[in-house]
Amino acid sequence: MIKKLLVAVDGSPEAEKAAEYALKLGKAYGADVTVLNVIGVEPPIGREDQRKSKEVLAHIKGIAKEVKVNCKTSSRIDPIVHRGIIEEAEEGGYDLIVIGSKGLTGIKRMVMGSVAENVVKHAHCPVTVIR
Amino acid sequence: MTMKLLVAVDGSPEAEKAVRYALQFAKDSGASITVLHVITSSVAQKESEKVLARVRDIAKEIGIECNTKSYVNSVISRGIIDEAERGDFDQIIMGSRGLTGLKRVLLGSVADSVTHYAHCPVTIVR
Repeated sequence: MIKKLLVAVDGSPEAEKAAEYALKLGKAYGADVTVLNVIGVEPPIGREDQRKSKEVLAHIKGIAKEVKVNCKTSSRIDPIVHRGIIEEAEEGGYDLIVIGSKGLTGIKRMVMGSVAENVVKHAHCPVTVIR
Repeated sequence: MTMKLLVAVDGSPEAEKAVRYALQFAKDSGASITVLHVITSSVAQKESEKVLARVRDIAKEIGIECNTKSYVNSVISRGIIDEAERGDFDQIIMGSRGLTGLKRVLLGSVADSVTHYAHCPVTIVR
């Protein structure tokens, strides 16, 4: 039933948990998993972000290799991160978005970050929030 | 991965979508599934029975066994979260809004609270 899975990551521990969950689910279903990192700023100013994005995606690729799941990676530039995630999901026709409850900029005492919250509100498909 | 899924329903069309999604998910992944209807007062018990009977019909149609349960708690989101913790569920699945939600509201208050405060992953179906 779940054929295409999109997991949004940003290098935070919550995002890593989300990626691990998505990879396991992808394996169980034989679904395509795409790992997405949205970069807020365009290069050249965002060059540092782009470098970090590559690092984050490579790290998840490493985890995917460990659990023996194939995954694609994608990075996308959008100053509004949740919009980037939602648009990627719509354009790619994904069946499920997996996201961590809060990302890098989240405050510890907060239970849910703004990106996760907005994705849950505006996505066209089911969203799983991992914590 | 064997999982314990908890689906929260209230008789709304969105909840029915969530139930179908969850039952199919459970069937495909071999997860066990419990369908929960939280009611604010035991006066609604009869109504709740109807809602859960409908769920059991859907389960039969899909071809999977499921437990159903109604639970009284004056705060619905708390009822769902409590039950998920007590039963040590791995995931909660629910609709984006329930019976009392306005059409233009993107995420109802119960779904909002559950995604914020549950101890486990939460899937919102729309």
